Amino acid sequence: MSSISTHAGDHGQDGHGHAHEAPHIAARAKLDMDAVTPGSGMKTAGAGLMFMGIVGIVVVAVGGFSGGLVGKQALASYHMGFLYALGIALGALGLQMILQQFNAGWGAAVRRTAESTASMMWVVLLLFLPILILELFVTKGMLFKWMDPAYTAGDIIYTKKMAWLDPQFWAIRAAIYFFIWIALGSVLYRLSRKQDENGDRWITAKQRWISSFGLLLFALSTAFASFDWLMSLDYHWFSTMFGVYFFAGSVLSSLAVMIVVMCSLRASGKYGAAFTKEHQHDLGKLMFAFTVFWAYVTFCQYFLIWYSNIPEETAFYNLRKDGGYMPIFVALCLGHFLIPFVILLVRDVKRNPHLLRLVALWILVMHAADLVFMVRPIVKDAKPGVNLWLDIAGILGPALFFIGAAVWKMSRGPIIPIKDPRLHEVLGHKNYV
Amino acid sequence: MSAIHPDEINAGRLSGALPLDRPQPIDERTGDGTLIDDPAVRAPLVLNNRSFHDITNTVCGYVEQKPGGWWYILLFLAANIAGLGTLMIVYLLVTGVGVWGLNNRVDWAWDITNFVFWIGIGHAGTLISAILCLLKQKWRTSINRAAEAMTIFAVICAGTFPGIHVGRMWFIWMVFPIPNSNAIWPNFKSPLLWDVFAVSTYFTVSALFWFMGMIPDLATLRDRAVLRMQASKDGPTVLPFLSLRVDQLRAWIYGFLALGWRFSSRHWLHYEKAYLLLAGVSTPLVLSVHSIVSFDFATSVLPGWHTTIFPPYFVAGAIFGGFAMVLLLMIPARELYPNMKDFITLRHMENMAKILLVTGSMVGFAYAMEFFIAWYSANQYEADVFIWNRVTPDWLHPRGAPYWWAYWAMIFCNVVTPQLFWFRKFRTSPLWIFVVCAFVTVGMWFERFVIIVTSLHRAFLPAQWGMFFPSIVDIMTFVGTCGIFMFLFLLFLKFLPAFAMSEIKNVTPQASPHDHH
Repeated sequence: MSSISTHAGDHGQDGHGHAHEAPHIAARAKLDMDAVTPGSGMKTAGAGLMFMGIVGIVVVAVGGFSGGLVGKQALASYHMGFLYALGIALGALGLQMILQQFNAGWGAAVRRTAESTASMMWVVLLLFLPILILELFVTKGMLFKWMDPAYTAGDIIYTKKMAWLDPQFWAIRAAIYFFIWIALGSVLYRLSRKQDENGDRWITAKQRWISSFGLLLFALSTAFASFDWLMSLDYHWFSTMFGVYFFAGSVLSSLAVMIVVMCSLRASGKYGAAFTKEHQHDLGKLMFAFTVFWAYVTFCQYFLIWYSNIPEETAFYNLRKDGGYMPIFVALCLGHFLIPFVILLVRDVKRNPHLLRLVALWILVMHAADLVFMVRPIVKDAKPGVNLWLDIAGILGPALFFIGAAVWKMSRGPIIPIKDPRLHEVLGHKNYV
Repeated sequence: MSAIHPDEINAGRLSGALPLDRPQPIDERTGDGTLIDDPAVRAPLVLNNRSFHDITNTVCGYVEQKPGGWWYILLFLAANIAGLGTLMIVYLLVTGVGVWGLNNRVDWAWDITNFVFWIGIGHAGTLISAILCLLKQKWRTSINRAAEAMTIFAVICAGTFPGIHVGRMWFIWMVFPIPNSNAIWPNFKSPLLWDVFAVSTYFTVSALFWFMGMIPDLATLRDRAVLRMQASKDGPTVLPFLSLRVDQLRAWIYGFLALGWRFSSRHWLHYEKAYLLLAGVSTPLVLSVHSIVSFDFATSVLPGWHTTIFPPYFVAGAIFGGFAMVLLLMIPARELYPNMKDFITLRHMENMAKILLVTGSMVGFAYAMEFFIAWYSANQYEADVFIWNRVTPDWLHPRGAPYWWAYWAMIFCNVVTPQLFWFRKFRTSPLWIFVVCAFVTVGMWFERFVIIVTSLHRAFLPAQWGMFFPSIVDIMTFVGTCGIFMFLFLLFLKFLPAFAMSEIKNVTPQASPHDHH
């Protein structure tokens, strides 16, 4: 078993050295290289997930080619799956940049997972291409009704926002968003991998610098992408909160995926001192925080629209209420907020890998329900529950394919940044309270 | 080396009479030694190898020694301004709200602007003490006490305005849900009532948090007074002809406030648990107060007020304005008090400047979203408020509005000036930070003015258009609250421990000798 001592040398303000350390200090946690080197099982798991994803995509494609209402529903279902994958990738990108900005010591434990996930953004682009091509050239406004000139004919509201909701401009914007995300994701991943090899601690400073303006670009692109791909599905409707809402859900789903992956690895004996129940506890707290943040944002958005009761805004919720989506609405209040909120308050849940993974899986299901609530009602003729297999395949296909790709990517190198200058903080991390 | 007793060297160093003892030369590029870029090195949080005893002596010294002349001058000024403000409030109560510039069209103006302005400033303290505590940001220990004090004084100033703007101050008790003889209840569906609950809860919890955190330090002040009395029979008395010693008074007052704290490990155990619980309870409060303040506007149907991003946007703005005020107060304080720079290092300044940059950009993001959606909504009234009533000057276009300057002042102060902090030179220079913070404070006042007055001054019919001009009473009431705020803060600096001694000791290297940090 190879080991790397993580004694970072003498620094800090105290001036006097630590040459004569007590034995228990010298025996501090060490990085176990075997435990952070991915086994062959991880590659298999990634490939398996990708295969399941492909099956899902094929199923939804079969539905799509059958045309008619089923075809329309298939497109909407696939769009949900694309947004699911996008949310995971975006959340991972945002999270790693936030961790960099906070100079978070423990963050190195979870960073590689986020980096690997975000570096697979190009897969999300691949998943987006069918929607782009279909909507621009084939189905022409089946999903984004504003793309259909026949549908928008005489629509004064559309005329006013035509400059923004223009198919070509929409495609150009998509290219800009993906350029930003792919560039940030791959640059940060490559720098991190380079540090694995040469151990240059200044790479961390460089990553921090990139993350600073990266977050600014990320915030704006994420918000406008959520307007373009989610809010414009109902192109009359608008909400200034929408970008924040999409961000909150994305980060939450991304955290849940990270927890599922990392707890599974930990349960199979990986990580050693690099990701213990202490780090897991913090990750659980972060998921708790984003559960509350999602609820805060979603509640405020709903509440302000409900209270003011302005018809052009309430139309959004009325469509869902009248379309039979009230059970999902109630399920979201309870399942997306109340239940995980109460369960995640419990300390033992956050420190137990199996329980925390279970809560994370639950949140992932709820995140899917949230996307169903957002996207699915636009297919008015297909009531909720009709062709459920199509919705399930549509979400699971792209989502599993992407998660599988991220797991596969993670299996290509150490599962934590092994030469991170703050690794000694990671290895000694404790929650004292 | 020399025959001076170590204690005397220490005393000399603390009073600034002797040069500081620096064991290692400081790298010029790291400012005072804390601006370390190296990701492998955590910057020291306390400078100059301060021992636990040094920290106690320095912080207690601010309380026990005579303050500098500047303190008396500022206190005199602040007291007079506060008195003037109080006079204005009395005049208002005696005469009626007509003494303000309010009119039928603009019936909320400076009063509510000032309320939201002050309540926003009152957000930094609890953010620092609660959220940064949960995030384990150790650097908060140097600024949390003063920021919490500032929070409480700001909420006091804020609470004044809703109280006096109702006109008939003697009916203000009706905001509380007390069934009176007429069985009149306040309107529970109104966000204005929720505000009463939100602000009073926030004030109560913040005050408890502040006070509880101070208990060990108050006990230290008590014990030092007792020890001095035991050590010597005579010392300064309260008044020349009274034999009551100042230290006796200190022992009584600080002893009363210390609630019997004895520094036992059991006390510390309870203290730390209580601190964590209060931090957890306060965290949602940091978000809820300003969210509910934003509901005052956003639940309406008024263009410019009703928009869904208001709650998080207000919270970000509040933290932004609060941190600006913390810096406005602490930058002069660290210059005026000896050795305060050991606790508030350039790194602390830089961190807070970064928070200003982040929250300023969040506010800018919210402005951008509001503006974009105002256009994207294709709602004519939304567009009118943002594009014509706020952005376009009336001299540029006939549809423009006279309050364009307020909007542009807000954009310049809140969005443009913090961008200087992208550059290290600016965010590590106390002078530049002070200048930017002054701009931010002005900008955050204008933000509330823009939201309230520009949205109100033009209603749907041109016949309902109006203007707001502040009266001298409006202005003097606001200036007066600044005086009240300063007066309370100066008293705090003199009579209460301005730093959380026990917490600062916790982040010194000697507190965790087994760790490198």
